Amino acid sequence: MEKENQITPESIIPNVENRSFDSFESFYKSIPYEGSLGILALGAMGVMAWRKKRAEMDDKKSHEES
Amino acid sequence: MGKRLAKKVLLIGWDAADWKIINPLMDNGQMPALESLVNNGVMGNLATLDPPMSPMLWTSIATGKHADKHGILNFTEPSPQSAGIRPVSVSSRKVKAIWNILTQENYKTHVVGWWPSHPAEPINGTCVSNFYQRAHAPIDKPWPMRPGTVHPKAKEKLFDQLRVHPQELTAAHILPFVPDAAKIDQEKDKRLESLAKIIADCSSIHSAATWILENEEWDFMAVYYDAIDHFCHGFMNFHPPRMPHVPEDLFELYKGVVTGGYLFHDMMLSRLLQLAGDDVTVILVSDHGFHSDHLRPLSIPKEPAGPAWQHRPYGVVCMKGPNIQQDERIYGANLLDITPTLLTLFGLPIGNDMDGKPLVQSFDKLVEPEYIPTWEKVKGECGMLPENVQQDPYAEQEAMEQLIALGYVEKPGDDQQKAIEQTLNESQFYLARVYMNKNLYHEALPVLEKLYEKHSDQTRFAFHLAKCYQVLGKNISARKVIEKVIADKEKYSPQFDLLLGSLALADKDYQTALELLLKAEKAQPRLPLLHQQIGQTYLKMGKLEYAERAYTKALEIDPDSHIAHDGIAIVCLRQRRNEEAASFALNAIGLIYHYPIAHYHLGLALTRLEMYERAAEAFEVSAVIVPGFKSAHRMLKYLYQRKLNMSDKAAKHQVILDEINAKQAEKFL
Repeated sequence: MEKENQITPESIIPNVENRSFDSFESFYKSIPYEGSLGILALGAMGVMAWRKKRAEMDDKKSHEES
Repeated sequence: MGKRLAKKVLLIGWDAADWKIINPLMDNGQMPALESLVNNGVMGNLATLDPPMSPMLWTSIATGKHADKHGILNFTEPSPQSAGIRPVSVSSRKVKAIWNILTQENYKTHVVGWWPSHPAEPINGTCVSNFYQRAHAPIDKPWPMRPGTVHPKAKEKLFDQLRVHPQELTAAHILPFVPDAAKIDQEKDKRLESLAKIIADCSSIHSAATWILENEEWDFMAVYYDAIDHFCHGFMNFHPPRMPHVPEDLFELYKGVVTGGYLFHDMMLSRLLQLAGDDVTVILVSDHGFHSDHLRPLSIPKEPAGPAWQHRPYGVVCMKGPNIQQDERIYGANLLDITPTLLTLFGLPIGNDMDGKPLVQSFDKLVEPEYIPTWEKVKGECGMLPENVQQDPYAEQEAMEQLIALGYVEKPGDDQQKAIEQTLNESQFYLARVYMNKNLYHEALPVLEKLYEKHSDQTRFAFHLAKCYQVLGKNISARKVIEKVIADKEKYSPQFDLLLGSLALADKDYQTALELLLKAEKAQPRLPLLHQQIGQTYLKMGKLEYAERAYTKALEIDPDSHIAHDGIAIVCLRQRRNEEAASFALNAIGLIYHYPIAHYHLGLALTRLEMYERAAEAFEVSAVIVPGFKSAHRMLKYLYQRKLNMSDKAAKHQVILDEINAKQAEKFL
């Protein structure tokens, strides 16, 4: 089993305790297109951020293709 | 009003969560969030109720009342609109839930996903019903929430967007549970689809709950996650160690799903705790456990709610916050105790009509709860639904399909009238079991007699009726029912030998009892309660060593058998092994606090150990649980008079003894 596929306490749960713009930005940057369980575990904030990031990446991809 | 002990309270429900799975995971550091909760607070078993049906149990948690009072008796109910059946709705609840009481007291109160909570109640806060998370259409088609899912209505659009659709999930969400998912032929094996649905559903609930915690003011929040129960019903047979009937390849594919489900819940818990903050009182509970070891049933009986056979009678409770002890274990909690505990935390009185007690042993100081006769007659807006609230039949149908998929409900078929009749029968059967669970056998009897009269072919009705007769001392009737079933079925069942054995035991025909019980053992060596019964028979025969051996066997099969612990306590008492007797009686009490005979045996052991004050406490508890417990009052009179020099208390117990004797004489005459 690939390590990144394991559910472990170290799975990505970004540190969002200090939700200043910078820390949220760095979290946002780290969101992969595929999402992750860690992001779902963040709840509303994680789900909304993942969807936004995915839409941005889709837009970028279709822009590049066109 | 009493002193408020909690600033805010977050109540988290994890359906079917069980310490048997959690403890090794916590020991390995794999559930850090729950471990922090446990280390900074109290933890213990939470005894469930019978029958272990989740909507009934979660309503008991939220009301502090048994199902005969709160009215949620089944997974389904007749639907007034469609002339068929529908999933049980909150409109069937006859009493106030904790969030209604808190609404009435002007606390900001939110509820997410509680079962049942549809249609959403108009409480002083947000209510997201248990229909919220259902994705009823593919992701490329509209899948709007059903009317009545969210209160207040103005927030419907917001919560609609927070839901996660199973088809949104990717390999990144599935592979942690099933690393070899690529090997699965999904045309033939639909388990990955169910898995995605479970993950998406609980992510939707979590999303709604976290949004509220982040954005709303709150004093109380209750959130219910059903996913552990669903992971377990779908995948527990693949959990290690491999069960003999499970093929090796399927075991290898799905062996990590249940553990993965728990770890995912710990990740979600971590977020809830982070959002709630340090000064919040957090209570995490489950309604029952789930067999995960050698007690896993090899097959599920083909009867309504058959999957409930996989449930274990102990759920979990843990609690941390201001005024709560740290790193302590609590004993004797049951799920009726949660609402009285919540009321005490808010400094509010407990209704005398509630069946539970506050878990005062959790507090770090002496707390004396206050009581009122009932909350039901306290006037004021409490956010309950007005009568005759209409529901959406389409939403009902989707929720029905999920219950059918889980195996809790049989497919109703085309004959709606038959489906309604079956639902009513099941509800009556569960009501009878609730009465039996409360030791109200006289109330259970007419309900079972009526069911048996109409459906004598139903073995479960016959079995419970016979049991009821037996407890009420109507052994001839009990035997008649069993013999008829055995004749009708032309089929041997060790369950009936067990029952016939108990009847012979009650008739003091010990040899016949033993023969029947040993016959049952030969047919099904791990039959629940069998070895306890064999132990009791040997006790009656005075064969103490055999009795201890039988009880020990019972504990090997189920270490949480309170009857077996108490049985060994009796053997030890008879052999004057008093310290051991006290220890085994305490084990039994730790498992089931409302077990008067174990308190009595503890009292006897402590008396012999010359610990008179503690012995008196134990006898007092047994006499409170069973009013008119003559032997307990006799011991109390003896202790207060001869050992504790408290003649006033001795006199009080003499008066009670006189009353009991007078009643017995009256009955005799």
